Amino acid sequence: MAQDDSSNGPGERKPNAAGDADLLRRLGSLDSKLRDVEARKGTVHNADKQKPQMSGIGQAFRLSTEFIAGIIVGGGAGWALDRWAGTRPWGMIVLLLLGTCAGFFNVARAAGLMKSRTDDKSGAK
Amino acid sequence: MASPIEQFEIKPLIKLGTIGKSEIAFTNSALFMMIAVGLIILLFVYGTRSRSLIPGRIQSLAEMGYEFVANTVRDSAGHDGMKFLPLVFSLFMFVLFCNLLGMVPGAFTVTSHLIVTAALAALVIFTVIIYGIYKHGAHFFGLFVPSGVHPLMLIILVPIEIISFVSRPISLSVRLFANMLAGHIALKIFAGFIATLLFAGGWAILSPLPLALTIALTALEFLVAVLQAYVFAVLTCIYLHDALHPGH
Amino acid sequence: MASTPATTTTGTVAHGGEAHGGAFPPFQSETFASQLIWLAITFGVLYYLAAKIIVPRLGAILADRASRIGGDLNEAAAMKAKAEEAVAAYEKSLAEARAKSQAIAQEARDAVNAKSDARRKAVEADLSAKLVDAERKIVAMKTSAMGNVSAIAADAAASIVAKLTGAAPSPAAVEDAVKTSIEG
Repeated sequence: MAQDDSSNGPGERKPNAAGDADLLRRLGSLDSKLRDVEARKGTVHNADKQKPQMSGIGQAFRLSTEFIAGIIVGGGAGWALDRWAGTRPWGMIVLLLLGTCAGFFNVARAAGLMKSRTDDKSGAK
Repeated sequence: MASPIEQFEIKPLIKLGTIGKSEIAFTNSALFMMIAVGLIILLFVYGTRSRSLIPGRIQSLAEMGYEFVANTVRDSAGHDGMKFLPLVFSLFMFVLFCNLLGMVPGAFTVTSHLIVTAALAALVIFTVIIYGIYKHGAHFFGLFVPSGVHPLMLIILVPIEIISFVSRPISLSVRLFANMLAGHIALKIFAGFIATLLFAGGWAILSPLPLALTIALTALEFLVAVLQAYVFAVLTCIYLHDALHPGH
Repeated sequence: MASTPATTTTGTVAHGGEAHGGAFPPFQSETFASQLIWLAITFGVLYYLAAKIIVPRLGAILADRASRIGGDLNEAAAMKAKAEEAVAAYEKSLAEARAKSQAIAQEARDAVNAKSDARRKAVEADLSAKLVDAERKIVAMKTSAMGNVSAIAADAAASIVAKLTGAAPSPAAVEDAVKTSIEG
């Protein structure tokens, strides 16, 4: 004689096939939604500890002045050195040349063609 | 045709006195600086007053702006870099609002003056230098000495590195100043063409051309206004990253 | 910094408003002090407010929301675990009940089988007893019938002989003859 089992866990109910299928379906959808959220959290955490990525146009604007700024600083420093130490025109020439190289290096580093000073250290500290 | 340079004149609105040789007054530049800061306060302090869990439109806007700056700082400088968040936030918002305010017809563009952008860039670079020396001592100057280089090469390389470093604030300030200046000059010139053509008799038929150009240029200038603020902020974060983690 | 001469476009009339008539305003050094002072004031106010109010408040709002969402997600995961546990327990008890019912059925079947076996054995015993009885009776009847048969045969033989020979044989001789023919 089959006896009704009273140990059904929280909430006794009579076994009902249609209700069971519905509940199991909802359990499955909750499971997949939780997994989606976990996956999204994972990707957010991984993109950490690097230099901020600039958009393409941003990079372009940056590069537009990096070269000229080097030349300006070189020329300005050269001119100041000449005024101060009276080394016309050599101060200006040498520092202008160095400034051009610096501008060059600036562009190369900004464009990623050269390793920048702190590239290997990012994330290490 | 009106001079395209006129729009950049500093006009005193309320004279306040003199310091040494310069006359101090409440100028149009000062006015627009205050309007910019006022708008920022309106958006971020007044708009987030309710601190609701589900944000309304203004709080949403404020949160988006804050999150952009906070993420940029956190990505580049990690958690100990978050102490620079108020500085980067203020810089970004100030430049953004000043740039955008300049797009209002008849308004004055604060950031079209080299002294203003140079002062902001100087603020950034001195923060980098002072904090770098404070945190890492003389090791901060290791920034200028690339590793694994023959000593003779260093004689050339170190000045180049120093020039490169000093060129950062120069490029930061010149970039913002030049873009704002050139943009507004171009707008004024092309808009002037419309009027010139309209009053030149038969040539009036061509006047829709500069009109279309001016409209396109205005759209571009809005983009540039936002982008220049963005680039300024991101570069500030990059330079701060160098102060926090100097190489070698 | 010396102010540079005017850089106006062709055909424009310089509108001199400043002391240098058409100079380039961004390079007019007499405006620098004023701009720097006002910049310091406004930016200082902005930085102070950002550090004291804006950054903490917005940080708190976002942190609150993140922790609330995190809490809700954790709760959802816990609920899901509990639901799965409940499903597992339900299925386990279902399986147990099924096993139990099968056991009970098996027990009942065995009981019935035992009973029928016992009854069969009883009937079999009964029948074999009756068989033995019947056999005994048959043997008894047979012997009695056989006894009768020799008496009847003796009678019949005596009358036959009397009829055939006209003289009645002695009963002892008839008995002997019948006995030999039966036995032999």
